[in-house]
Amino acid sequence: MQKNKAIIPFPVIEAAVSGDVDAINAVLKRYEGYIARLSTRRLYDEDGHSYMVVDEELRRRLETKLITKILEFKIA
Amino acid sequence: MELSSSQREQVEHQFDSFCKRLLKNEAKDYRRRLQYRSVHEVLFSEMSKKEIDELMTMDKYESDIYKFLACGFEFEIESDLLAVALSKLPVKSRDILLLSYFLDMSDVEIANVLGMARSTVQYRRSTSLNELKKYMGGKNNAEE
Repeated sequence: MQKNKAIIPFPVIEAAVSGDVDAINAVLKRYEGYIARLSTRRLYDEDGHSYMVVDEELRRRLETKLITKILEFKIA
Repeated sequence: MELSSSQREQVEHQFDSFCKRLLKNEAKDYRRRLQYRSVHEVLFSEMSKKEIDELMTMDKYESDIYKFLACGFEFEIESDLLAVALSKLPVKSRDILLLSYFLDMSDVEIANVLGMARSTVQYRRSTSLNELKKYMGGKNNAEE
């Protein structure tokens, strides 16, 4: 993932904050990877092997949180 | 109010860090909650038999309780054995036993209520108590 490509352009932010669905989807898309990384948990099976698993509940919580909080963002 | 391009860029970065921060905090919060649960909550499936028994209660149902009427009082009896034994006794004898042992009435009081002589009450009480004992004791022995 390239760092510079990551920044969301100002007009999209403006639209997302005012509740535009496409813009919010674009923001979600942008942070998809970050959300997946945060939701990954290490689980162990009976034999002690460890697995990296995406916690779906956490992933959906983060998504929901992001959507609700985007609407509260104040463009200073 | 129009923002200059440098201000726009600033907002873009503010928004980026805003999103990252809220996601990070929410994830931290979630993990803390999981941690709390693993300390304070236990699965039933992981509890020992003894621990589960301590939490267990048995439901009481109306249909499990035997009811006897004597002199307008209602007596509720849970024990199957006792209820069956009582039901085998003659009505008068049963009334005397119920009044005497459940309501702690004296023979004189029972005699007044039932309109009998005190000695009759005493005699009936002791003989029917013996019958009751015989019935319940016999059944117990047979089961063992």
